[in-house]
Formats: sequence, C-alpha cells, structure tokens
Amino acid sequence: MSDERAKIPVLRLLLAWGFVGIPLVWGVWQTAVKVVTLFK
Amino acid sequence: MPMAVLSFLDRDRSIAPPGYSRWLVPPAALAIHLCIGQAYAFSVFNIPMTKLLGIKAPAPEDWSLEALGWIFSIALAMLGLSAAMFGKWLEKVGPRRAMAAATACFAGGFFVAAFGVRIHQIALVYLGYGVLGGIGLGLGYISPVSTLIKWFPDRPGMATGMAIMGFGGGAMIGSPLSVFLMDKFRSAASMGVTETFAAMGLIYGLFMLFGVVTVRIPPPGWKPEGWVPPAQPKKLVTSAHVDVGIAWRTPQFWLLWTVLCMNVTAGIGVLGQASPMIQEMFPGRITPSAAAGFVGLLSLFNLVGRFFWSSLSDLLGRKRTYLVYFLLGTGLYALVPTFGRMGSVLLFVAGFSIILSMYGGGFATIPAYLRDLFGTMHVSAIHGRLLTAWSTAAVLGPVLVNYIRKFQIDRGVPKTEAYSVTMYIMAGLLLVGLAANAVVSEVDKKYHYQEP
Repeated sequence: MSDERAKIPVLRLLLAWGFVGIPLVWGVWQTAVKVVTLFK
Repeated sequence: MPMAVLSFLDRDRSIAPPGYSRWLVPPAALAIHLCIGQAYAFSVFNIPMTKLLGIKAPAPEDWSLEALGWIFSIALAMLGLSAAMFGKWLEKVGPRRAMAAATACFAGGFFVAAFGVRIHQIALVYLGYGVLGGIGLGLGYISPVSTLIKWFPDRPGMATGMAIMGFGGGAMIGSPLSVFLMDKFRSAASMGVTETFAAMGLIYGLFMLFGVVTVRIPPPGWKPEGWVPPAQPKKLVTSAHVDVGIAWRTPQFWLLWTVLCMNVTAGIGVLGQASPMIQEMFPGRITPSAAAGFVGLLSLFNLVGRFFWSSLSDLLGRKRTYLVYFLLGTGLYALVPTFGRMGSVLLFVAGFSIILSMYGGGFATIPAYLRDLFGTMHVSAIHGRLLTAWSTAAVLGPVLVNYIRKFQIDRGVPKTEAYSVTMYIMAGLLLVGLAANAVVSEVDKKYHYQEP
C-alpha cells in the first residue's frame, strides 16, 4: 500500500501547507525585521 | 451528537484511507506545535500584567513580576510531567484524541486564565495557563511524534524536525500576535489582557482543531512507495521495539537523558540572558534595540537548526550528529570569551548563532534517536519521559548563567569578563554530553518487546 503513486491531492496539500505556512512566515518576518537593527 | 464527535477521535477512525498523502501529516503536527510554542513568548504579558489595576503604573495590589514568573515555570513543569505521565495513554488512544485533549487543555487554559485576570485572582491564572495549559503543552508536544515517525520511516529525523521546528516558530508568532491583540483591546480602563487571553484561546483552539481533523495514522503494514527497509539494519538502528515501562530502566535511556539535558542546559541559559550579555560584553557598541535584534537572530537560528540538523541526522546518523553538536559546541563556547576580548561582534554573534542552531537541533533530533534505539511502538511515550531532561535543564541553565555571573561581579570581575567562566562551564557541560553520547550502544535484546 502506498500514497505517493496514488493521485496526489495537490489542492489539499496547498491548503494545508498554506494554513500553517502563512502564520509561520509572518512570525519569521516579524523576527527578521528586528534582526536588521543588529546589523545597522 | 457528542458520541459521534467522540467516536471521530477514535484511533480506528483516524486510519488513513487509500490515496491519503503522508505530506498532510506534517501540517497537522505543525498546527499543534505552532500554537503551543506560544509558551516561549509568554513574557510579553509580564509587564502589562503588573499594571492590571493601576493601568499607567503598578498599583500596590497589582501582581509582582516575581509572582507572574511562576506562571511560565508552572507551565513548563507541567509540560514535563504531563508528557511523562500521558505518553502511554497517547500510544493507546492514538494521536487524534491526544491532540484533541491538548487543544482542550491549551485553549481552555487561556479561558480560565482570562477569567483569573478579569477577577484578579492569580491562583486562577496559575491553574489556567500554568496547570491546564501546561498539560496541553506536554500532550501537544509529544502527540504527533510517533505518527510522523511511522509515516516517514525513510526520513524520521526530517519529519520530527519539521514538527519541533514549529515549536520554535510558535514563539515568533505568539509574541507579535499578543502585542497586536493587547494594543487592539487596550483602553483607558483596561490593559486588554483578559480579552487577549480569550481571543488567543479561541484562535489557538481553532488552529489546533485543524491538526486534530487532518492527522491520520498509516494503515498496518504501510510503507512509502519504493522504499525497502534495509536488509542489514544500520548500526544503532533497531527493528525491534521496547515497552516504555522497560525503556526507562535501560542505560541507553539515561544516556540520552544526559545528552538532551546537557545540550539544552548549555543553550537555554544563553537564550534567556542573550540581550544583557551582548550589551555587557560590548559596552557602548550594542544598543538595547540591537540586542533585541541579537535575540531575534538566535531565535531564527534555533528555528532553522531544528529542521537542518535533524534532516542531516538522517544522513549522518544520530550518534554522529550529536558528536558534531558537542564537539563544535564545546569549541565555540571555549572561543566565545576570546571573541569578546578581541572586540569582534561579528564572530561573537556568529558563534552564538551556530550554538543556538545546535540547541534547536538537539531537541529535534532526539525523537529519531529514540526511535533508532527503542523502535516505534512507544516512541512518543519514551520521548515524553525523556522530556523531564528539558524541565531539569530549564532550571539548571538560567541558574548557572545568572548565579555564576553574579558571583564573578561580586568578586570584582569586570562585567565584560563576567560571562567567561560561565562559557567555560557550558563547554564542560557539553563535554559531559559528549561522553554520554560516546557510550550509547544498542539496547540489549533482553529488553525487546515479545508478543504475548
């Protein structure tokens, strides 16, 4: 039994990764903005 | 209706249907870890919570910072306790029910804490965010581990690294989100903490429910397409299983406990003191806002290290990866005081960034190390018990950094030099970890699980 040769649920994958990825990227961005002050 | 909801949480109901992509499981795990990682950003509430009555300045009846500090400590202690206590239950009921319980506890903890702030009863805040939220933290932290390892037998380090990376990211989301919400809810008569807690309970509860609904366990006998388990198992990778009740009596468990404890102790003390440390080591050159940037940079390396090092451990092997952490870490800790004396901010920042990446890597690689030695049967439960090393390090690390610094300053050592001894002690702790890792061997066959 396998999952990867079966039809890949692209939309579900995009939605799932987007759901968790967007807040993560936002948090990383908020932190990265602060880091800039260290190098000024 | 309630029975239908409860049966949805059954282990059997969470078995993946044909065609389910295993790449949907990491987002489910991330949904939990991104939320519970908020715990590391709890300090943003400390100052506002000292002014709940006085609003502009603390009133005599307002809570002190010392009293508020207990909220985080209780939550972290409960994380260790609940992960150790409920691990076996989690293995029995499956990840979905455990994630649901974690969601109820973590989100519910916010609501109880909100009520505690509203009626100004700190005991309720301890009970809500500390005890209830802490149980949610422990359950949530370990609940996706064995599921991810079963879905990714070919890359267990990468899979668990992704989830545990989420815990590091959770603080990066939690901190600005809390500040944003408090700004929205603040008024002339309120600091906005009650409303922020309630809103966060709602937001995190819904976000975690996504993980509950999405998570699936693989059907029995499932393996990735085209993947063949190695005929000759790699050294230190078992195909047997060890029961959690037996595992913690083996020397390997306590060696890994020491490995995790030393690695975390060395990192956590620095993380907590990073801002004053860089300002004191480079007086006049590092402003408070640049120091905040340094803390942010360390958090980023902590986050990236969780994914990078745990993924690399799938290639290098777990023992060699920890060997790198301890050797490189020892060398860098020993060199940091020299970087300070040289006045090189760049080398100082680079050294600590690498150290913190390995601190995160240590957290993220340990579940796969446990899987290698003890098998997959009870890996979440064993991981839960091992997390008591984290609780121990959470006390040991900051105490070492703070007290040794104070002792040095009291003896007349200049502030720029006060951290040197601490850094050498941290290097020594990593050598203890190195020795513990060096003697890790395969678990004796007498401990292997036998089918009744």
